[in-house]
Amino acid sequence: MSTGFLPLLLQAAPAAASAGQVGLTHYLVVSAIVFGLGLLVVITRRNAIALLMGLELLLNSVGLNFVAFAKFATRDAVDGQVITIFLIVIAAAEASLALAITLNIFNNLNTVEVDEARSLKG
Amino acid sequence: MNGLFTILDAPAAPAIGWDDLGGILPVLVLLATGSLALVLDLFLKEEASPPVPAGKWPLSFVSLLGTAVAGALLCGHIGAAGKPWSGFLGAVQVDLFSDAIGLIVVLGAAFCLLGAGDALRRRGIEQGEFHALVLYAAASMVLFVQSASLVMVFLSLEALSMAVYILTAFQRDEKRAVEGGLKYFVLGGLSSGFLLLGLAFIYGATRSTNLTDIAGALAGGQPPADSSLLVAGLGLTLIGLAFKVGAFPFHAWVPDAYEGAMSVVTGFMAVAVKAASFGVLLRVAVLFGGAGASGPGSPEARGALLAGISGLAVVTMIFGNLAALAQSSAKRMLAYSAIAHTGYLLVGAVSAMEARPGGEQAAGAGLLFYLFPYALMSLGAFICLSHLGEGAEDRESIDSLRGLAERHPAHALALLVIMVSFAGIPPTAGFWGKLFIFREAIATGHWELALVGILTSIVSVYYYLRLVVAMYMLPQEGGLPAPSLEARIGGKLALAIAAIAVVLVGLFPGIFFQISAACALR
Amino acid sequence: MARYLFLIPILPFAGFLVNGLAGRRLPRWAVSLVGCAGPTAAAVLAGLAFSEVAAGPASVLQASLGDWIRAGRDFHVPLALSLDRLSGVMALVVTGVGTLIHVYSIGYMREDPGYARFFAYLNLFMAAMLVLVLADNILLLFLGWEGVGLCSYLLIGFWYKDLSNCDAGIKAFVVNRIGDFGFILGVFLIFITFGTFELEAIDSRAAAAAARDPLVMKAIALLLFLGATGKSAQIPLYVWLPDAMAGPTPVSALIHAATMVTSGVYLLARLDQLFLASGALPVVAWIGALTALLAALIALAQTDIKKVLAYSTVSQLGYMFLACGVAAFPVAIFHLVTHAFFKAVLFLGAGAVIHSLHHEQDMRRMGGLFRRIPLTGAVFLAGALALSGFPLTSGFFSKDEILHETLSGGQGLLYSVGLTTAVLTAFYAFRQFALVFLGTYRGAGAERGDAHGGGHGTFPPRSPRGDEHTFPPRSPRGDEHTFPPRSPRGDEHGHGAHEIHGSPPSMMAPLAVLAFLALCGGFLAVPHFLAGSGETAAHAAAGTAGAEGQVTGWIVGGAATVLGILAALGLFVWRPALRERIVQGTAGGRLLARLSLDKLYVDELYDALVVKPFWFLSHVLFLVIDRFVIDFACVRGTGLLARTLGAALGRLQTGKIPSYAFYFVGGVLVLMTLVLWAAG
Repeated sequence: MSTGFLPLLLQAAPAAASAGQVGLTHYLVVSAIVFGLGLLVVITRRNAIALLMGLELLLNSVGLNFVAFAKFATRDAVDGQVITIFLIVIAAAEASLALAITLNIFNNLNTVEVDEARSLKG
Repeated sequence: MNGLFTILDAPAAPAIGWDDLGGILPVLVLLATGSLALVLDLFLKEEASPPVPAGKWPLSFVSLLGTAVAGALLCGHIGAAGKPWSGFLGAVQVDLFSDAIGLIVVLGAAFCLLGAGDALRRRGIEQGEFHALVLYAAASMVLFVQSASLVMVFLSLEALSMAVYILTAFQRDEKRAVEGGLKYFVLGGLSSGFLLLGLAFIYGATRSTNLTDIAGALAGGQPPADSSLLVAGLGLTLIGLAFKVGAFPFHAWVPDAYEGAMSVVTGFMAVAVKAASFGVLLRVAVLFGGAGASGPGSPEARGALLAGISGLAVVTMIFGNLAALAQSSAKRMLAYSAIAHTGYLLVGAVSAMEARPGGEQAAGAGLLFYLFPYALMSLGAFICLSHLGEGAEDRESIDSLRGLAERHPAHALALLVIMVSFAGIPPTAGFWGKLFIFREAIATGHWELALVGILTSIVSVYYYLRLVVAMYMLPQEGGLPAPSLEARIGGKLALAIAAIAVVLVGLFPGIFFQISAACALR
Repeated sequence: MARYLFLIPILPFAGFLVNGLAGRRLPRWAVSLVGCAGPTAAAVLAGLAFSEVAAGPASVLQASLGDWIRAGRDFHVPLALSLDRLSGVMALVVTGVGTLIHVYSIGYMREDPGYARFFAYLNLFMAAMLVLVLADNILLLFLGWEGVGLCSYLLIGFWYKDLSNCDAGIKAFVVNRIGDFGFILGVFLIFITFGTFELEAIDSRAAAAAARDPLVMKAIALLLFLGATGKSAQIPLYVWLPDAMAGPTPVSALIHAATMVTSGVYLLARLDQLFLASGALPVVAWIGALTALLAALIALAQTDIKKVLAYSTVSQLGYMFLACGVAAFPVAIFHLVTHAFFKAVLFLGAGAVIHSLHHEQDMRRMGGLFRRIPLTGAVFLAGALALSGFPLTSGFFSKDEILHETLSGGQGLLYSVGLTTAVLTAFYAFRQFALVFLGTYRGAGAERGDAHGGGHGTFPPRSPRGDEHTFPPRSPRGDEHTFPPRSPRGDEHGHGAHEIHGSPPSMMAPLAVLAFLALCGGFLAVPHFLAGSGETAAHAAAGTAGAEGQVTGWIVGGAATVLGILAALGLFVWRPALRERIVQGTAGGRLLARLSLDKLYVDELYDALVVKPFWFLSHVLFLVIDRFVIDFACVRGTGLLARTLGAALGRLQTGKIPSYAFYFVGGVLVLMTLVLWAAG
């Protein structure tokens, strides 16, 4: 679901801005909401896969920020957009790594509930 | 608008050439050696099964050679007092400071690889990936310190993090290793999110991705487009870096990941990851919050960073030292001690922000000086724990070190030297490190940080001494049987080098301080 | 000669390297040779250097190996040694007494498996102590300061591999770190104020700096003094020294009596101008006097032969600080020198006693040893006389000079504290001598041979090694210690020959030399020699004016000593005989005896009137101050608090990722609030 947001917003942005209705602040607010949701997921969920999805939300909300800043705050540079592309690549790499670790956790503990991994403490 | 990707708008002007690759030669050497190790492993697989004592020595040999070449290149650049060089359209900046930090990273990698042969062979997982991952991680770390652009900061950080996540969980049939890796990964992802958000804010506030340009514009009297956004961005970036160096309250992963990982990896993490992250932390802090030649570029940013880093330093020193007191595992105790040392190094970062360019004090000379003995001590201690291990276990609990002085007097002596140095007792290197850092702090008016540092380091004597007491004064009962260490040449070598270097730096600190001062940020 | 100055610390250090690295493979005689050669050579060199300095009026030998550290424009520390009269005297004491104690250790440690290790540590200690004494700057001095502390710690934990003695070592270390905290802060302040670390420069600029900024100077002086109280075992940091007696006896003699613990006094004397200018001297004087009194009171009731000497050391160090506090720095050094002599004798003599009795340290199980080991008894007597300040012994002159200087400084109250302490000192010194050497033997085997054994019913039944002086089975000096065939060839065998034996010549010869020094060392005119460098005229004037006072002082001091000695001997030696005569004499005597309800009544009266109050006072002081306030509240309390806190912090580390994420986000909120608030 997270990857669905971005293309949608990227398409919608120019049109909305020219209409004078949706500005930088709107993007930032949406991004902040997504970031907050990601945080909430990371703090509250116990399932390793759900945690991973929370982390993806964090990354993508930041991507949204970069694109919005590139669109509104700078006129002739595309740095923000390029960073976002890198960010998507990194997110994919991170996801594969996360799945590998989750697999190993499952092999060792027979569960993907992160609460169960608590032999290291104190 | 000197952004990195202006090249896309003007394709006619090719800006990246062979010169750029030459500038980052040490990184390329590390990357190439890592890839070579992967390939080499394919050819070694048939003949080297775990019981063979020598194991896959060519793997260790080649990767160590790679670190040696990279280290020599970095040393050469320092020795020649090379001018700062900027390449890849300003995304990479190589100066003596990045060379010095890079050297510590390479040192960490080399020690890790020295000890890794035995450690992997004992566990029957001697694979080329390990060597490759260490070298790739080291390459990313060197790039991380050389980053002058937000993109590079972010990319190299992610690259180094992922390599280290895998290294942490490398022993994948061991529950604790995988658990440590999971914790490191989840919390690392969280911190990456905050760091990225911070970078986005900085980008939004200053409309540029190039750190040097941003700081130059600020120092030139151009206020940022959005000052409070810049401050928020710097704060979030600080959080991301504070996580990487293990500062309280972003430290939670440190004890668990350090304990879960193999001790050789722990040593590498404690040294290389921390050194590289401190390099970037210092660069950001001095660029945005430094005193500046004619006053700070942005007083708000300076105030924010000073308050943030000082606050982190105080709570980290107190927390790390107190929490270490109650540990019964030497490895975990050393993990908390690593947190405590992050606190001392943060004090060095604060005084670095007070130095004026061209003034008497070079920014971060104390921090840079202390990183070197700290690296030697941590590497020596963690590799010693690995070196004395048996099977899939490292020697972790303090009790298992009982009577070590009688069975392996040389090892005990080396560990004694390292512990005495950790505790900051002269004439060891650790004493001078603390002396220089606290002296800088007092000289720049941050005497309260020095006071907390001195008080907490007195507390620290207690837990470092517990190891010494166990080794020298307690009978062997309850300790593990002594493994035969005849064949473990790598660990012996690493431990000896670390201990001797700690003493040498302690006896002749002047030379090393001069090098640190020469390599400090200008 | 200046060129060879560096050899003085390097030679013992070479001994440390050889014995430390190769000692296990060397034969015993080679270890002894190497171990003693370094200190001896250093002593010869120190003697040569000293004679060169002594010849000229104010000459100083200096040697530099260039810069040790150079950092930045202003921060540089030379690697330099300097030997003037003060450090020359100290170097002579360290190397001289040190060499004798090395020789003594050959006999004392003969059976120990850690023989080479012991000599290595001892040599390392010598090297560090010489660096401390000869250092040209305060950072180099600090290097030696920490080095001797480390050796002291290593040697306290040398034998005793059980936890309680490790605690002693750790206690010594932690208490010393508190002192070092003051020291290093003082060094920082010195550098900020003076811009240099060189001791001479600091000292000469002190007066000007004090005029400019008196508060900072006072802070520097008090911080350095805090360091000195840690190393030299003064209130409030004296507690580690008595516990440090867990180490081998030669260590107690060398480190914890003669040399290391006096380095605090040396520091004050080295920076005398700084302390004079700072106005902190009254504090020094009072701390010194109170420590002297308190430790002497505690020493009265101790039963462990080494503990008495330990508290006595604390007390005598108090005298030295008292002398510093009344600005009589040369006199303090004088007492330091004589104390090194007589306390070394006492400790080594006690060591010989302990050695003879197979590691019995409880004085209640000794007695009558003079007949059995007369040589040891004689040297111990010499030490006790000097400690008491018996007229014409070394302690008499040095202690008297201190009291004299205190009185002529107009410090009547301090003088009376000092004089009271002198009486107490004589009392406990001879109580100890009487308990150990006079009367009848009360130790193992006394039941068989001695008819008088029953006369001391107040002594507790002998518990076979159940108390704190247990030795681990792996110690070479365990219970089943059979007599080595090659050891003392019947030199001092008394009645219980198979139980009590004498000591070999390698132990007796250094003892004899030291005993001679303890008796006659007072005729060395140390203060006048030291003062000769700059204050000749002033001191001479004071000398003539005070000559009459000096004689009076001698008479008063001598009388105080004799009073103390007589009281001790009367109560511990002569009383039983007196009582016996009264009981078996005339009818009036029998009446008197019945009146006194046999001897119990006398005992109880004596107990109630003399022993109990003293015992009570000294135990209350011991328990309240030493055991509770400092030991429990300061050392163990803070340790406990820190460990509890550490454990509580460890509990935060639940091992669960969600709670870690929660801490992280909490940290983000706090830090961002701080950052945004600070940005204004």
